[in-house]
Amino acid sequence: MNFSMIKNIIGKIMVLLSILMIFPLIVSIIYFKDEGIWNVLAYAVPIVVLFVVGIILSHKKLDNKKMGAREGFVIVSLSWLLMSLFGCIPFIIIGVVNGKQGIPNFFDAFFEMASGFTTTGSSIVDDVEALAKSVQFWRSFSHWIGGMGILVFILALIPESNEGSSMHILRAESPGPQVGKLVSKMKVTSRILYIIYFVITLVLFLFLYIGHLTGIDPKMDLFKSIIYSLGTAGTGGFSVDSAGFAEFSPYSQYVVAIGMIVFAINFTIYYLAILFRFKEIWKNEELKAFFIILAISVVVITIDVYSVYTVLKNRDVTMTLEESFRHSLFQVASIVSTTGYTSANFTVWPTLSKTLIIFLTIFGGCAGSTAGGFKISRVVMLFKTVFVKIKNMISPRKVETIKYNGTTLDESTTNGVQSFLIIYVIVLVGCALLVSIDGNDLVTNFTASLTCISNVGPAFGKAFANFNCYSWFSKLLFTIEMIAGRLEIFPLLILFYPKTWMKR
Amino acid sequence: MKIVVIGDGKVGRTIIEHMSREKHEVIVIDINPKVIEQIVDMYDVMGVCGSGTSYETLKEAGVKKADVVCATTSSDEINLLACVVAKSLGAKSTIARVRGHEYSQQVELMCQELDISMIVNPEKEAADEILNIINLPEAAQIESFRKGQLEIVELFIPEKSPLIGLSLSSMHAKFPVEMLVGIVERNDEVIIPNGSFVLDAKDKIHVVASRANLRSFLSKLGFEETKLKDIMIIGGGKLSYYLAQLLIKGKYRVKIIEQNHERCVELSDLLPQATIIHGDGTDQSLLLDEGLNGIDAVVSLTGIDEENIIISMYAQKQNVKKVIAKINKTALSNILESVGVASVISPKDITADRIISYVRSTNNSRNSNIERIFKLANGNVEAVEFVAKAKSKVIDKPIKKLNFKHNTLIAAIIRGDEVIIPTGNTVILENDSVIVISKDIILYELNDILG
Repeated sequence: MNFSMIKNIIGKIMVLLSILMIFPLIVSIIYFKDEGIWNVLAYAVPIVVLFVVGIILSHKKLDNKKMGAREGFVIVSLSWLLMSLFGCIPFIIIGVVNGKQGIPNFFDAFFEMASGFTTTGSSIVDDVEALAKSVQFWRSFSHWIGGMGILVFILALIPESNEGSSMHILRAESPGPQVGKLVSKMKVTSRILYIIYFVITLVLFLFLYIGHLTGIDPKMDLFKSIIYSLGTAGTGGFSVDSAGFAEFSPYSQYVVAIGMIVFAINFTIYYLAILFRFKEIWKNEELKAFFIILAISVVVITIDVYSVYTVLKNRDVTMTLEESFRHSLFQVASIVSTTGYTSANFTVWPTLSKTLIIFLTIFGGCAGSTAGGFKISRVVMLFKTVFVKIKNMISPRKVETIKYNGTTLDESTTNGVQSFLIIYVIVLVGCALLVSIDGNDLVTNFTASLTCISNVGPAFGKAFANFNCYSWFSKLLFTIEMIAGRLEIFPLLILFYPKTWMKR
Repeated sequence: MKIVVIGDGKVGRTIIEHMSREKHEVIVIDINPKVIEQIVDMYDVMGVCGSGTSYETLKEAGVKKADVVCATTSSDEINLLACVVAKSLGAKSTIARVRGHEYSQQVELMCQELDISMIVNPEKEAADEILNIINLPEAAQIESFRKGQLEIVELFIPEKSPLIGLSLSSMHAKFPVEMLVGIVERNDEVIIPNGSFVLDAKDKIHVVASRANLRSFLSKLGFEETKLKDIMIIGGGKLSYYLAQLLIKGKYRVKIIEQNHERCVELSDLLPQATIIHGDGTDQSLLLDEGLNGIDAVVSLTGIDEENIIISMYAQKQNVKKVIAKINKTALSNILESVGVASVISPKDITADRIISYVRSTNNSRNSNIERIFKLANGNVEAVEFVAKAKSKVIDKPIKKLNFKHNTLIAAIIRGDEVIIPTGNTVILENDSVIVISKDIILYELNDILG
């Protein structure tokens, strides 16, 4: 274990965090007149402290630059834990001083911050509209940072290390069963990813803000346009309106729905599109599967909702066909991209729709996007593996390889997917079991655990709007589950394996 | 620069290591996915899995925009074909490793007809280097510039040498020879020394001088000129063939020991003047039977590093005057050198040196041209030969007026037929060959040595 290297990178993370906190600091200065000096100090003091400590930890030159797989895993999981831990300090300070403007309780604040960085979007705040503007911004900004990954960002910035071992970091942080670079230099790869990310976010913001300027959606002002484009880009889901997206105009709802789908697609696709390599895009099976799942879900839920609400008139209100389509598109996009915005209270929708939504929560988005969940590519690989197994049972001597995107999958990849499924289920069920101590009903516990591990946000039952029905212990558990889900579980588990910490 | 390496073998890996360290964009093609996975983990490069001769694979690797394509698979024919395909795709220059003796006569023809920029034959170059060492057995390593006009020779300072306790600046007074100590290796540490540096026993020094001056320096040191006559080569591979050919031309008596009978027949057909013995070279009684005691030099060139080490150690024990071993794994060559046994030859490093020289020299600059690069002292130090051009900042000024970077040194200047070991008043002129020694610094042009 190369402890000096880990110390060094942790120091860099703290410096980076202090730099990122300058953005909410600016917001707090803008709203200084309404909110007072404490909200400014709540950012200024941690920024200075983090910066100084970070510099002290990272200034020393490294003699041992060796970084193996385990250093990569440990660095990534520690970074995510510490980012959430230090990032929530302003929430606590503002909460202690100004009550409802912040989050006074440590476990609540830690949960909220982890939910931000992991782009989950589950909240413990009762009244999001009462939060200080800077807190609202910092929550949504953390989605944007966490979406693409903190360490990928660091890789884009820091001078490249001598050896190419940064691959271990990319592998630990990036979602999906197969991780590759776009170009041969790691630094260039992460820059390309961030440029694509930034440009699409900007386009989304312009679309939302144009809606406001032209008067289509007066509610979507400049601040909200920024908040919602950041939240959509990171596929996070923190809202600053208690009613979620229900009160925005259909225009904004469509824009955000399409935005969520865009950010749930593997970013490699966009890179290939820029280079006009459409043949390779067409070969991508994950993309096809993603759109098929998306289309089927939207059609089924539209019909289901429309028939229940309007044809059978089983509810008090009615919905037009356009409304049913819009809400089901928005909800499917929101869940499959693991964002978690809500345009309607889908917990009162018919059972078929609800069940489908739970399934989509498990699937998640594409690998290499900002979305969480089990990942469509893994689902595709699993189905293919099972299919080959069945064929093998009929004719045991048959030799058949599993093809994916035109190339043969080697056994270690399919084995990796299978063991990921197992550990995913264990963590999901284990967490639901442990939080059931609090006495909430089965649906709430199970869907809350699912929504955390998939980084989606809303759960069914009591935890739809926020997680305040849980004790501090359950919240801490969910916090860890969210980070585990974002890092795809294994990196975090490695922290608890004693041999990781031994000298070589 | 964008460099595509086809075939991640020993040579391929050395090239990848150096190129990614020099911050080039490197893409590796190999047929084995496990190898690709490993290399991507180790270095900041991109891997493409597939055949290096396939149009599709090369296209996927982006050969179209590649500056250099190096084909270093184990097969000569694949390397040649890969270069042809790469060239047709639009690669700027191509380098192939071709080792077979059947091709060695037609290198120029193939370069021209197949439009290949460079063909490297590591076995042949290693043979040249071994011959150099056999001609100067006091040296552990010899690198030569400009067809032997100037050499950098690695010497081991034994106990009781008159050099011990001498500082480099006082050395010239005691041994008035045109030469310079460019690098000193002391207990794993590599030093570019200055004038006040004091030599000690067990130091390894790299001396820069012309061959004649080196001879007189060695004789002043008390080395008697030893002429080796009987050479035993163990292992009958390609390198052995090339070496035997050179030795026979130089009127040495050559004995080759080879395990494979068919290969023995082939060799005796190709080399009628050599004695070919069919037998196991690691068998010590066989070596004694074949007169190991009376042999002047043993060159161990089997395909297995470990065998070569054991044979060398045994030969050393039998008081053979000079022992040379082929070792490709850097870690193992360190072991052998630390026992103080023999000269170590690594065809892998020779090829890598050649290819790195080529890549860096295509990085053309207006003030200098790179002619040749040697990696010395286990790759820690580079000796680079530049040709100074009119635009360079170092010319037409006395050297003492220039401000050099730490760990760089102008070791020698070659002007026409003359070799100059520079002093403070020496002036570099246009078109001089300047040999620069540097540690931890990558030089692309002559101006890079200025601080």
